Amino acid sequence: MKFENKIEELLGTGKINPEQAAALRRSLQGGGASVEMNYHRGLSFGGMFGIAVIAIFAVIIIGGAMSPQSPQDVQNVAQTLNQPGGLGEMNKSMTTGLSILLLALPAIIWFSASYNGLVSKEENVLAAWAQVESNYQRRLDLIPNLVKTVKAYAEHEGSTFANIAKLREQADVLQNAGEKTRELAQGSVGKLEDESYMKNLSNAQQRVGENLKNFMMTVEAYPNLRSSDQFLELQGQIEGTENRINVARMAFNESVNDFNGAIRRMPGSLVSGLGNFHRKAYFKSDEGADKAVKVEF
Amino acid sequence: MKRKILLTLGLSVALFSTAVVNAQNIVACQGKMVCDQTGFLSNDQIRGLTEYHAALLERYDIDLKVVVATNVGDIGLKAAAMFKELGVGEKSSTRKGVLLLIDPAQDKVRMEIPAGLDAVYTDGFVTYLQQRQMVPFFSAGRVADGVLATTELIVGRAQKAAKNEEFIAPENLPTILAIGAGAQTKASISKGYLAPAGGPDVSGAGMSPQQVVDAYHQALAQGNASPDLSIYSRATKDLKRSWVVTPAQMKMELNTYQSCQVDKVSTAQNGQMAFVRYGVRQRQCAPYFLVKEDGEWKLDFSTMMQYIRFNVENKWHFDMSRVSPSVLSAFADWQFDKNGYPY
Repeated sequence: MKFENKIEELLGTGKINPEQAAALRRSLQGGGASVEMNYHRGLSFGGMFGIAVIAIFAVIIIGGAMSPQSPQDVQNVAQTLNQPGGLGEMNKSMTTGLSILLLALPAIIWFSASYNGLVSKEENVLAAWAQVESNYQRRLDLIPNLVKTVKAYAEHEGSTFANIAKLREQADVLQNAGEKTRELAQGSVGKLEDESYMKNLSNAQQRVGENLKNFMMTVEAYPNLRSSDQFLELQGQIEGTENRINVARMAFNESVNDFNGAIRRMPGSLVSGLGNFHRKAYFKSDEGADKAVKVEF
Repeated sequence: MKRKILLTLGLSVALFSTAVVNAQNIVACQGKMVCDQTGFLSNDQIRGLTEYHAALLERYDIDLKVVVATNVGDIGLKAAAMFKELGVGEKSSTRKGVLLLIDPAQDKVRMEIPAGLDAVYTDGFVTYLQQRQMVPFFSAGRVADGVLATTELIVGRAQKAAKNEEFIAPENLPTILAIGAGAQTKASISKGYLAPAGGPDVSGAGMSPQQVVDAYHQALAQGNASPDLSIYSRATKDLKRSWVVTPAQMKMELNTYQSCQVDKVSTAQNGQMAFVRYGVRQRQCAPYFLVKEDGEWKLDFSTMMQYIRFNVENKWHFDMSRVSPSVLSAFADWQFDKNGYPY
């Protein structure tokens, strides 16, 4: 299905907000093809009806095939019609067909329900990823402002800054790391099944977090800067974003856990095999995978 | 091997006990607006906060829940989880909920803001609230007052947001509200209150009552929190020395009065008291009381504190059981309802 439709669907059901939808669209640039291939859509009533019709036809054909007579044979009415104390051939094949149908119908309903359940779990993964993405995007958007504020202050107070070169250098490192991660994150929604990509992305994001932390630690040496209201606002936004990232990462990994569990457990594994559902990768880094970077000031 | 089994068993029991305690804590806090699991707040304080927050819910549809719990671990993750588990915001018809989680053991406080409200109460604004308003009170050991003072600023922001239609309609809110928005900070509980910086003295010699009020506003604009300014009466100086003054309060007072126009300056008690009052419809600007001492007009916050009260909307009214007839005589051209609101 077209990813735009999927985004609209997620928006419509309130699973993501317009900001996250925009982040998803950005993320899908270059990754759209794989998204169309990898992600599923729930079976509609029409879809289920279609499967049921196909099943009925199949039953009729099977019923017909089970008939002992060839269509070219002249029908022996005495054999076909019901006889006292017994069933004719016509009713025998009908009964067999109906029995198969009765057995097949619950299976069809169960399959459809299971398939839709997996689709909705997969959608939860996508929505949770959108949240992770939008928070990382938010952090990347804040970095230029932070760097600008600190550089402006450094220029203003240049004569009293002993460590100004280090601060500038760290600002550049931070900005570069941010830009690199932004590039790496392009099309990430189409690569949720790629464990090594997800690990690389997580490591890159963690490096940005560490650079940010080092930068803020250097800034701490300048109490005038720290106590300004403008810096306080930025600091609050950055710290807030780190917390949002932690919460979103946790929610994403929980939804992946839920989805992966569902496609591996019986009987969901039967449906996932037929429906071509694939395991999603957790968003964890190499070191301290379960510990996100804490930026506290 | 035996040691390993024992260790695993021990860990399992510990984890299970923690889970049980957590579940019990959540159950104990269900439905309460203020839930103190530590005995940190007195019953009177809990009652006072609960009443104020009930009024906040009724007037602004904001469900503000306060939880005091110890050793909650990662306060950011815990607050987001608690927000969901306690159903914060469910009492609000527009799903506006705010959770304030205080952990005295870790000396941390976190205000959890849900999706939708995070555009009004941005992370930066919440950090400002905490560091410039809440923490000074907490440092003085006045946790309940700190929560109340913070709520006042929450109300102030809600009033502006409502006027500018900044709130998101509930039907446009996402399903999951707890997104980790808000801010956390070191609470500095009872670590000792550090008053904001003072400044040069401000004298009111030869000034009219209105000029004294203007000089006071200028001191606020300069962040001059000195309790010993010459424009304060003796009783006011004594009172201010024991007050917790925060930068946010000073800014808020200044911003409020900048939007009000002086309506009249009247006197009472044979010209020994003066009142600088604002338009009757400008309900957030309470009148300033001044008293003549040593031949100069001085701001008399001591008497103002006795007679003037503010409601949850930060609207002022007289405490009719206390206000003296001589003070009321200076407002003779206004009527007051039974609760002391002028009209």
